[in-house]
Amino acid sequence: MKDFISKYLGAAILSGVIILTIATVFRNHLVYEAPDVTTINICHWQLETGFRKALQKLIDEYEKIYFNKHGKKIKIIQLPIGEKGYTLYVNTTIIGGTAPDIIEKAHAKIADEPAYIARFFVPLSRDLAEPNPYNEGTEFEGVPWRETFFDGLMSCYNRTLLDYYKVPFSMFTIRLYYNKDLYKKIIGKDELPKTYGELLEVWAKIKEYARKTGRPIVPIAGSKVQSDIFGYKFLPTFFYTLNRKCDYDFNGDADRYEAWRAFKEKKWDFQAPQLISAWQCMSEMAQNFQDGWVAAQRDDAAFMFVQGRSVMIASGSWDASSLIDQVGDTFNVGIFDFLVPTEHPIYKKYVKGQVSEATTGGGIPWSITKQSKNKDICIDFLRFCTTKKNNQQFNRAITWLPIIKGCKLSDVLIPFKPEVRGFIGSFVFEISQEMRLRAQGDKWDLFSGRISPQQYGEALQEIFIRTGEEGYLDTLDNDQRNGRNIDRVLSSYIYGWGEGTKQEEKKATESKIIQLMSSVQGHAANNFEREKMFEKLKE
Amino acid sequence: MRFINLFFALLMLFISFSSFAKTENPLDVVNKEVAYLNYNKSAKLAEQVRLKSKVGSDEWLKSTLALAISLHQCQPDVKSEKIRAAKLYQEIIDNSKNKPIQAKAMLLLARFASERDYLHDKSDKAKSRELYGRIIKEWPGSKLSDAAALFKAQLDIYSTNKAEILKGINFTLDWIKKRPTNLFASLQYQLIARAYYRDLNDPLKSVEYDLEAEKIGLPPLTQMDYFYWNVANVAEIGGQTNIAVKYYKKVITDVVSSGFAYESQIRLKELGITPPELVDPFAEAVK
Repeated sequence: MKDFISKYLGAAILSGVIILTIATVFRNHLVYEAPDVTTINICHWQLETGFRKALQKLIDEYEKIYFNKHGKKIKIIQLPIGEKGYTLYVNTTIIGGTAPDIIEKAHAKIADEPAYIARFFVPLSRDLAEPNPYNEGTEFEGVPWRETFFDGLMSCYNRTLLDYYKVPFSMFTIRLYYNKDLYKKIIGKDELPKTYGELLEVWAKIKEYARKTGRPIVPIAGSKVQSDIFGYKFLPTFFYTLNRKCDYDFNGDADRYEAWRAFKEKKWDFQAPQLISAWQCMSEMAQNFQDGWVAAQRDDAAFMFVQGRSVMIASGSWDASSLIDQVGDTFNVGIFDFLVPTEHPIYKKYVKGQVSEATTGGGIPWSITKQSKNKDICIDFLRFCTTKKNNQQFNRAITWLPIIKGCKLSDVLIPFKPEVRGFIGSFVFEISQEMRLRAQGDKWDLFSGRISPQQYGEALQEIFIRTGEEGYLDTLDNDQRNGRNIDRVLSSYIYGWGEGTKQEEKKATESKIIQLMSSVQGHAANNFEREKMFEKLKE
Repeated sequence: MRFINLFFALLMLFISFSSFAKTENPLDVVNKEVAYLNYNKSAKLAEQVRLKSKVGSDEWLKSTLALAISLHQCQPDVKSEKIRAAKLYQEIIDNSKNKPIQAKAMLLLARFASERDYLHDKSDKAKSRELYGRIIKEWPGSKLSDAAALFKAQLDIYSTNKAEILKGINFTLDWIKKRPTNLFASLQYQLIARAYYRDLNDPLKSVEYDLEAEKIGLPPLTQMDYFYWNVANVAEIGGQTNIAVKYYKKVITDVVSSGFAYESQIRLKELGITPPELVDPFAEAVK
């Protein structure tokens, strides 16, 4: 017997595996590729169990409804891919012609650059302008699908291609989570601070408590990710006045060209009080993170908070469910909004309000690939998922913010409601690659107090002056290529212009040509003006 | 063994017939690939169709245009392919007198001439102008002539020479007068509005032409809050407070969740006007 096992076990296992493989192939073929089954693949990088389960629930319901409606079988398969391999997967499958029908649009150049988007993804403006048939009998009956989203889908509008290429399921905002019990114990009351100054006092009290009691407690759990969250919320508020001074084209942003031009016109430099104050404020807040926070990962920070070693943590609504679950009954979690220094004696000169969340939206954006043979079913599925009932059910299951009007937030998410009062716009001075690397690299030294804001500014100014012209031209070259790429799309429409017999199709082509001509005109005007400005101001 | 061979032979035969039965019209396949911007593939397919068609026939013209566009627009931008694309456009122009495809080829060749695609490639704006002029002259009243008029005006207006800019503006205004409902009229007004503000430092005229563009309808899916915000700012600079107030208000009331809404309220207060209430589309989510 022993001899028999040692002689044939390997072969038996091999045969078993082969039989199993063949059986699996046959099973898959019968289930997914049988002639009477239409298969739709949908890929994403959300590996959270709750997400997959919630999406599967929608899929199961849709498959049943589709069968009842059309008498045809349909199978929607989720393809969850890890975050690290996602870019590779999306890029290679799209280029190789084997892309899934629907993909979560993120992390890949192909999903981001206008020329690729136009080439590989289905424009959705026409479908979004029609009512969602699954809304029949509801308050949204007859309402264009686009208008059923909280933000009218403004966050998903592609300003280069002048069209929509994605449909989101959720939206996200960021807030401060805090340990209610520990807060009360240290501060002696439940009331939260109302101003930035009061927040600093709270943090000082927490530090004092830790020093006195010898307990390893810090005001905020920090990591580079947390620091960036503070940066996202605070820096634009300081840059706002500078932004408006340099925003020559009134699009809300002071881009690299405008920042360079304004620098040459001596409207600002790297010792500008707006910049110095912003960096000072960031550095001030980072003093309340734990020692060595620069080396900590996002998970380390979350772990500190969950273990009660920090009173607060900055994070997004996407973390609500996992943080609250991990804390369990250990303590009560509270959530409140960031307090920007509008009343601070120095900072208030520049900080006029917080960053607006009016255009919040666009989380979990789904795009349909042009390669899909079942575009209509894909659109129908996305419509099914974005009814008020289904969107609420999906987001409740994973404790995320729904994106369809009329959906109610669960109690825990109420503090995450987007705040429409505030300003938009960015001030981008990272004009060259060296500038980007240095600004990013030195920022950790700045926030952790190793260098002063003035030193940081001096270093950046030296690089800005030395690499500015080269960076300006590189950026211009890139934008000219982007503009040229829009022309590649326009040519394709000009080729089909006036062809075909259906009046509706002809009109749609013309409408797209007008949009693309508008984009081409905008790019050409901007790039011409940038060239002209460079010639005028270069040394 | 003989049976296995026979089986495979029959299988191959079946596959060949089934694929033959499914074959689409080759020109339709080319059209589809051009629509997908799959230019490398469409170039190969169009070349095959072109070789099999009679010179000057509709199929030859269409496949030649597809081939020219594919070579013109495919990436990477290779010099020899671009030069061939230009020759193909010219072949179409020479072989398609009085056919609308001629105007299309002219328009695309004009675009080609002013673009720079490879190392040492030069923009030939004079040739572009000449071709746009030919379309306007030889295809009057066509939509392609409207497109040519817009592109031609852009060549003049994107200039550092004030006289050239004014020439482009006057040409465009004449065009709109002649063809007020042309497809690109709102783009033409916007071109003029931008030139007045950016190049000629005349915010009043700039606002005037932006409002004309709005009146006849901006391009589909224009982000209206950006348009309103721009008009309001330029109007304020030009001292047209009434228009500024009107358009700041429009940002708040006409666009759901505009990022400029809160700031528009502040601007209105600064102008001594009580602003409309901010619309909070998320308010009902917490009721």
